[in-house]
Amino acid sequence: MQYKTPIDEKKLVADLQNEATARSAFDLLTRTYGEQLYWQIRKMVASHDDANDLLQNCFIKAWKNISQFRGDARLSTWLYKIAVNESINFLHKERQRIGLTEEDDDSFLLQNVESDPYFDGDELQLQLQKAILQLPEKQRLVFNMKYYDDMKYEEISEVLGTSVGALKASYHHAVKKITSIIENSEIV
Amino acid sequence: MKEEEKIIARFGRKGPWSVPEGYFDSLSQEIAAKLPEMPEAEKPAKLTPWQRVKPYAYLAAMFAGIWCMMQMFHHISGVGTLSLDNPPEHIAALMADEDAEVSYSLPSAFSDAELIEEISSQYSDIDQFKEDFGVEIESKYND
Repeated sequence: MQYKTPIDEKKLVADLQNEATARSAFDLLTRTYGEQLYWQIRKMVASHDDANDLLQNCFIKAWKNISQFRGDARLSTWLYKIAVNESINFLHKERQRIGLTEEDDDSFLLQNVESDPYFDGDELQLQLQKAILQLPEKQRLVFNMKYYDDMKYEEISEVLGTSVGALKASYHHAVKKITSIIENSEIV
Repeated sequence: MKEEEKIIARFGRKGPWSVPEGYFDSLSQEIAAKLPEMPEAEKPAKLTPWQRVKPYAYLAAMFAGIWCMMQMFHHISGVGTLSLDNPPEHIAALMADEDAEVSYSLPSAFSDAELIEEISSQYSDIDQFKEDFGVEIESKYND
């Protein structure tokens, strides 16, 4: 993951787990990782309002569980995992709410994309978003992390708990599918 | 990957999203305001004496079970009484006594008689035997 500023994670974790320094350390944590986590969530749920709610839930969960963080993984990886879980749980609930099954893709989010006042894209960008939303959930996650965030496969592997080989295959399929969807939509 | 390059060339890598003005500047304050009191770290539960002893008790029961099973199989198979060739107390006594002599009896592939017979069947000439083994034999044995 690309850190905006290099921080001493060990010291930050120690400060987060110390009652006297926890709040100021958490402030540094949100300043350091808030933006990148927000974009990760936003790309998955499309709307700014939902992304904002989920980001806050994500940080509150991190705050409540920071005492159990053992430092086996990097702090940023741990936060990314929480953010990904929050996003996926939200999407599952949304699917249930509108009567879709787990097998359905996330095209239902297209309405959120189009109606979101903070979507700045033109017709061309909307076309790409439509194609991305037709990917299966995990492929969409991998595509977002690789295409937009330029994350390394090893980093994605840590967050998603999937092998690098499987991620490469997943990204390859995602790119092929997006190309095919775009080409077909242009023929029609 | 050709397809990826095509997508990048056409759509770019920048996402088509934005946020309300100043959103990231106020984010940490907004989150800080919603944080509850710091939860206390979970302390490890205090173990009762039985909980502490339980693993050892189970281990002892397991060994006792195995011993009972061996006794039962032994009884069923009808072999004579179980014995140890070197009871531990004998070994301990022997190790404690510095003057004790330990004798070994090693099994040999040939008995002396078999060896003599083997050699004498192969040699009819004493000089050949001396040469092969590199030994000098007193002249009184030459005949």
